[in-house]
Amino acid sequence: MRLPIRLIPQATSLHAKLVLALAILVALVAAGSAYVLIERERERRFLELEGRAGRIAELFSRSVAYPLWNVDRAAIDGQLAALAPNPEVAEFSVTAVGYGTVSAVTKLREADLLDPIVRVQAIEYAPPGGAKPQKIGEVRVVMTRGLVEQAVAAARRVILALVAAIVAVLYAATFVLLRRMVGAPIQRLEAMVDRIAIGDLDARCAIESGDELGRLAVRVNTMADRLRDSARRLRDSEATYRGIFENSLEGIFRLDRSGGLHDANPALARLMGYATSAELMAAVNGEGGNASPTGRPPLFTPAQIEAQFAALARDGEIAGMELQLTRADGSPIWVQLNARWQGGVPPDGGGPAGFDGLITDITSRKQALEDLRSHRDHLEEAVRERTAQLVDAMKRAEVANQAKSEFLANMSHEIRTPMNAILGMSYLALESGLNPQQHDYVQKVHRSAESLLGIINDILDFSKIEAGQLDMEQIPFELGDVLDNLANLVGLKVEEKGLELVFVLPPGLPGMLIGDPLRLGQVLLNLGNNAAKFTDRGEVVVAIEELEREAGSVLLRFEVRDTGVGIAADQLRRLFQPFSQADASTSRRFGGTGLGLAIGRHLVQKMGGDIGVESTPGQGSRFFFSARFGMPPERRRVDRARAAGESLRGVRVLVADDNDSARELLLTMSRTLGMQVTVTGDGEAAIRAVVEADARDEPFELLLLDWKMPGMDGIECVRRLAQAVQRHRPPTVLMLTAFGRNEVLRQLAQQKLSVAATLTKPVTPSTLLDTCLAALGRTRQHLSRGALREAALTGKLAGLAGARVLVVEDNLFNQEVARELLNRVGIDVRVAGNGSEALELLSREDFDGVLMDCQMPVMDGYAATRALRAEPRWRDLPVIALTANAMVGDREKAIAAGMNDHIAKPIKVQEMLATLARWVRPRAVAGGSPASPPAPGAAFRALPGIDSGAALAAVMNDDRLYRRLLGMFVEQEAGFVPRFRSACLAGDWGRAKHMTHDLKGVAASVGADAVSAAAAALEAACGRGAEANEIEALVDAVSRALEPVITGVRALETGT
Amino acid sequence: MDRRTALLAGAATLCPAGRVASQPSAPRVVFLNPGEPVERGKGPHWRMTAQLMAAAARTFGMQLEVLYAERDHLLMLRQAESVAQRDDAPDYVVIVNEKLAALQMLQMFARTSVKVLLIHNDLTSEQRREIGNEREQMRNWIGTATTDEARAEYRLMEELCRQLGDREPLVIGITGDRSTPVSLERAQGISDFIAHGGRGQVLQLAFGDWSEADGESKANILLSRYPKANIIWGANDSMALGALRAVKARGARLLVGGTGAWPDALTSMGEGGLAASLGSHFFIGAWAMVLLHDYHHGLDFAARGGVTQKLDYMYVVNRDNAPHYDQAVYKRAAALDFSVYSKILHPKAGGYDFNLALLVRNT
Repeated sequence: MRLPIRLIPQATSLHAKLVLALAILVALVAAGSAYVLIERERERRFLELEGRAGRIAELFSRSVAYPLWNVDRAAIDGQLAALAPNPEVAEFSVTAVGYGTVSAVTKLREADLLDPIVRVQAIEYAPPGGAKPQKIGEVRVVMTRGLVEQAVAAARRVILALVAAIVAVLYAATFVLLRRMVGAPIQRLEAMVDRIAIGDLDARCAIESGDELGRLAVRVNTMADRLRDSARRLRDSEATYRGIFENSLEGIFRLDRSGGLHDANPALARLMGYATSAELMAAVNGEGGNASPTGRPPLFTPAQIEAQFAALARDGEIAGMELQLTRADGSPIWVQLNARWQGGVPPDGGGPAGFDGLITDITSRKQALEDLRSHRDHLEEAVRERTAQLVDAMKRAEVANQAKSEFLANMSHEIRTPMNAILGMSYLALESGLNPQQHDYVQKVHRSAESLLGIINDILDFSKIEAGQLDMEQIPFELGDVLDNLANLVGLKVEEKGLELVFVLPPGLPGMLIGDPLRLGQVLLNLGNNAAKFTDRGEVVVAIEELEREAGSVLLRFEVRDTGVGIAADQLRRLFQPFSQADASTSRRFGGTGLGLAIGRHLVQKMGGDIGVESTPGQGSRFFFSARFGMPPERRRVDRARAAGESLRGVRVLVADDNDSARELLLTMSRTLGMQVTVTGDGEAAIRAVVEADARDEPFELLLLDWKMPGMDGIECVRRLAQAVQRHRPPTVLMLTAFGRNEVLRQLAQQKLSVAATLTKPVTPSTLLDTCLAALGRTRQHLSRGALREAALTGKLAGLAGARVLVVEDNLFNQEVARELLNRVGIDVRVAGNGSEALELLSREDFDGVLMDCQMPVMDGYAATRALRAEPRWRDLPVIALTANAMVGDREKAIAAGMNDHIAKPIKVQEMLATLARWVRPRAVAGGSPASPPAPGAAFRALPGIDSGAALAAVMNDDRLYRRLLGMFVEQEAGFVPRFRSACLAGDWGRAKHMTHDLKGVAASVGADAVSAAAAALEAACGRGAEANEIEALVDAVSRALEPVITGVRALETGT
Repeated sequence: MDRRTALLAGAATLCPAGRVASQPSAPRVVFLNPGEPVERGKGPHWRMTAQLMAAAARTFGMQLEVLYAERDHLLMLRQAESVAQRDDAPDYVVIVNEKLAALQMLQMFARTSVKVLLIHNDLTSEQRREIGNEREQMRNWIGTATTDEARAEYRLMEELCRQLGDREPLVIGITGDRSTPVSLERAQGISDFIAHGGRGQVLQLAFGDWSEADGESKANILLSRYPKANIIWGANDSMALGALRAVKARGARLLVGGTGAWPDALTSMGEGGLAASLGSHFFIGAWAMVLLHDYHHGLDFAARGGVTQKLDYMYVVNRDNAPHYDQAVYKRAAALDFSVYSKILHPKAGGYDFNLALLVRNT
């Protein structure tokens, strides 16, 4: 925008220039944008017009098609006339093929138009009857642009007039405003600056506004102030610098090339040992006594001066040059010299060339540096010493850590050894015919021991996690086994509390996985136990789903949810921290270390997953975790259900269960097996459904019936079904129960009803499949895993009878436990206290197998086994390790030492027997075992009032135990009648009833059925507060039943 | 002659005619004629109908009374009402479904002993749904006589194609307006023939307004649309003559056929214009008289073709027989003797055969 301003004479006032420039600019911009706007509007209207012409032609060509086809001139003329009023239409015509114009309207001749818009559109018509459309004419539309041009011209005139008006107003307003707001203040400023220029530093300008000019005036005032101040400061500064020069602690001087000192401050004089600078200058310049007493120059030697000027010439300055000078008294000092050319610039040719210098005394610093250098040599030595110490400390720490691990292992062993004794002994005690109270006590001991063991395991696990020693196994396993085990363990608790345990397993879960089944089971069991623990009502659901599957690996999501007390939000976060249960009171109420979840989280992380929880207090909790497993390449059993399901395909099944989750689950599982499923929520509906289906000739073949349902329960339902008249075979009934299976069977038997089978909840796909197949009598492709194992065990246990086994164990209690347990299955047991005793015993007698404790005094199990294996005759002798360490790696260590297998302490009876059965075969020459009498129970057959068969079976035909039980029974209950009577007399009906209850139970356990029945009747009478004479009669009955039993047992006791 | 008959009939007096006029058992017939007794620019159709009915009445010695409604159907209804209320009601009334008034007229006669015969235009199917068919709810509606339009045009087309010779017929048809049922019936005859013959095609069928001007204007454009056409047909003579003008203006060589065989068409044929036409619809009244005569004398036409008689009597007039036709129908109408068509007088098995050739040839 320089150009227009140049055109204006230079002297023209700023305000005139601005106004003119503004006016031109606004006019140009307004005119330009008006032009663009009008042009665009024109374009737009033309486009619109062309569009309209096209549309009219198109529309008309269609509407006139039939009239033209049928040659209805009136209709064509009518349509043309209707369009004629359109102002833009100049000409409009319809022509027929081969004929010419049929009808036309011409308002303006096309020749008279400038650039008219012409549209020609063919008229096509498809005669009725499906013939092809044929062109029968054309529509021609000519439109004038005249109207649009007129409109645009009018708009242009209006806009131009507007622009002119706006520019004029803008110009006038700007002119006035600029004159008032800019012109006058600037003139005032000019006057003031003129005054300052002629030296009136006190001239100031009045401030009239806060705008730019006002601020300019303020700054000009400030500038005037500063000018005044700086003039004053200049005077002060001169005095200050002189003072610095005089008072400085460092020597300041000016020297010329010939060594003449031109100026020196008092500090330099003092540094050099003179009283005043004048003395120094005199000494240097040779005005005083000329030479110093030492005969040396009073300041710099000529060589030093030469070096200084050389450095200056080279670098332009002297920075930190260190020099040794000699003071007036002859003592040497070290100084540092910094200098610059006089006046800051190098001399140019002649002139008095010199420099200004600054001298600092660095004598003491020089000394310090010397000291430092000698120190450094010492330091390296010290570091070497310290490093050696650290290495030593590290070695000690490693040793300590090792010691801790070993301590841990030892602790574990030391605790487990007595635990083994406690568990084993209490197990044995429980089976030895205790009276109910004792049984209860011992039962509690056993359970406490088990939970103590659990706590120890938790602590051990946690220690291992802390030490980073927790290793995971990678072995193939079946997911179903883990779940079956979980169902057994958690199911028991859940059943006791009357809860529902539901497994939600989608079809298509991989059967075989590679991972650590024990650890997976541990996490699930922990969550399951927690859920059961904190839930009083409702259900515990275990759900598994597959998140992703890749070649050879699968990510599974496990979820355990309950309908229990739930966990508050602020506690959720701390839940997976070690040593923190939901809160202290819960911990007291339900027990537990609070380590379970922390351990679970570690385990899950080790399995490549994560664990989490959601909970709503009062409504329940939902724990979920993911874990990654390998998958074996071969998928042998994955499709077992599908393959087996073929034989169930199309079977019509009715599911009746009141629990929504359970019903849904049964539906899904049955569908997966290919069955046609119908579901109902209660017994009534189930009966209706069965009867209706029967009437439809589509009878159900299977009925999955829940036992406990509100309203009509399963048993009642079976009873009613049995009465219902049906045309077809009634459905086979499978009773689902979460509670006592025996109770169901008993109730059914009482009502003389029967069902094909019972299914214990939670139902897994494999149990459902097997049960359904069995119930329908169809081919059973596979035995359930549990059944397989059981059958194998039973078979093998039988095979164990008569074997000779050497137990090597140092703990006396554990020796006894092992002996007792093994004797029971007919194994002949010898005991050795340590490895060397064992070797000695082995060399004397023949054995079928050895149970070898690993940690023993004198000679441990590993050493003993290695020694034993060295002998060729014992190379194939089965040796089974007993370890209490339960660390991963124990098993490997045992195998490496030459043992065949490994049993972890505390011993679980079934597991131990199964392991033994796998390896040990009794020798044929062993002959009859002394531990198994030829005819068990023969002595008891003659006992009056006692059915010894069933009772003996209950104690595994253990004669001795049974005899003890009988003895206890007589001892306890011989005085029943007098005790009962005294309680009655005292009016203590509660005690009396309790007594009777005990008698009923104990009598039943020894097979004294008549006594038990009489006691039951008496208990019932007490319970309902019967008449005294009725009770008396019942007491007599008990007495009559009891008397012969007591006599018989006493006779048996005295007889032996 | 025309004039006299018209006046006679228009006066609504009895028309004793011919040899059996005074015979007491002579059946009395009233024709409610929708047309006018004198020429008022609407064509001579209804006058010709009445004229030929009178000739037939004369032939058979019947009494015929004609009441003209002057194309005013309200007047026609009033006339019907008065006839129905007469003390000495006629034996028969012949009515036409002009402006769909027949239904009301039939209802007027429902309570009388008068027997009604409907001619020319049949009841619509809606009307039939309301009142039923002949001799059902309306016992005294004894029958209906209409023209078999399609069959007639079929024969016209046959004639045109005969004149065309070996060439493949390429036909442009201009029929009447869509709302008149005969437009489509006639056009049907044309397309039936082409379909039967299996040769040629109807290039286009246009709907016209029956006028000569429209015929010409349509023909103009259609001829340029179909330059190869060799037959052009009009659903009446007016349109055919209009088309003929367009053909001549272009100097084209096409055969033009019409319907009606009116005098100007016959003249055109004489001058080598039209190739053929069909005559004539106004005979339907005479045929009604024949049917009534035979019915009155015990021969019910219901047994000879049914209560609804769709009659194929139209005569194909070409350049050769046009003078004969003109002579027989227009010059000597009053002298026509219809006795040959009566099955009482000339017993013959089968249905009625109203072949006009018998009349034309006899002259």
